[in-house]
Amino acid sequence: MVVIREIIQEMKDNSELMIDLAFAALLFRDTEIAEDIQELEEEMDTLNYKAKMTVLETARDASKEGLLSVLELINATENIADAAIEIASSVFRGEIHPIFREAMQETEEVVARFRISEESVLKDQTLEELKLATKTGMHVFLVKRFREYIVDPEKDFTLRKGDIIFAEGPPEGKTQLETLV
Amino acid sequence: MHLMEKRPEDMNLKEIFIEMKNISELMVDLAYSSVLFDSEAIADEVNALEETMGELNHQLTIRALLASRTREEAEQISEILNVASAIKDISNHAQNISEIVSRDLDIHSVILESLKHTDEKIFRVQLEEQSPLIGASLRESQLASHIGVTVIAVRRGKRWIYNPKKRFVFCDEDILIARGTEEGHLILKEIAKGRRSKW
Repeated sequence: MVVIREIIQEMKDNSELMIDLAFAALLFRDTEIAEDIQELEEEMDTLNYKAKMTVLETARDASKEGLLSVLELINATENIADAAIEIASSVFRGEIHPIFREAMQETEEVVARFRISEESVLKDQTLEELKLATKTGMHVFLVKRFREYIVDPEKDFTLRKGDIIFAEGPPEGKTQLETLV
Repeated sequence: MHLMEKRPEDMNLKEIFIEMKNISELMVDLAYSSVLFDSEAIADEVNALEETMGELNHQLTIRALLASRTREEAEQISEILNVASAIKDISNHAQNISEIVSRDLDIHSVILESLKHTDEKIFRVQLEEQSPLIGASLRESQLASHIGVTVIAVRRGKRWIYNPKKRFVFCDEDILIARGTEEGHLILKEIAKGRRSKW
């Protein structure tokens, strides 16, 4: 059952990443992120299929009720991912109501997106060295490098030129971070 | 325990939208927590939040319908309704997760194993007498900004406090259900035991 454990983990991680990305896509009107979400959805479909096949293969000698709980969980994560697609699809339909931006900037924590430029003082430094969280209150929760997303990068993660970082924190932190990037 | 300081009927479109987004995120976290800790109390809260969500969605639809006068406005408003309906779907699926507990299904060990190994983990820590968190507010604790840990719920005695606000003050013996990375979890454990005073 190790395989199914890993599939469920990945499905939960993916579905949550997709929701975060969907709101980020909406906030920044970013069609690139919205397209990435669709790629993740294709991955989700494959995982969903694999997960259910694995459950069926073990069905003979396991408790049916226990397996039902696994199926329920798989379905829910898949459905949550579908909702993310629905949210992100707004980005392709053109004009987005200003209320989204306002609503998302008005929560206690704001989300900021920055690309690390050639001249940035953040370039080639680890998150630990930068101490962004302590200095600006901004927590880097996602980094996009080429086509890949790194969720909750560890302290020894080194930022590179061209990385797109997503951080959340107080509005003042966002302004401070802007000057560093 | 209510999240909202205002009743849905007194809120404007934007406030309702923010509330729906926050509640759906909370519901997903609570739903996984209910399964992970096999807690019917948490599953019940998910059900209660689902009802609140229904009311918010209803109020949002009314506001949205009243707000559009031109075709352009109607197009934009329809996007809000789409996103709101997706948010409502998420809360519905969260409820499906917590129903595993409500219906008293056997929770397969593989679920517990997998929930313990995701990028963002949900964990439970209890504050001890010597913890520097005691007497501090959630804002002062800076758990979110410094160690990336979000407190989803707190159990105080027999009572649950869901989605504590920034002014929430920690007490001795509080049981925190929180979300964050494994690193954040380890730091919080140390803080809770009073073995760490800086973070």
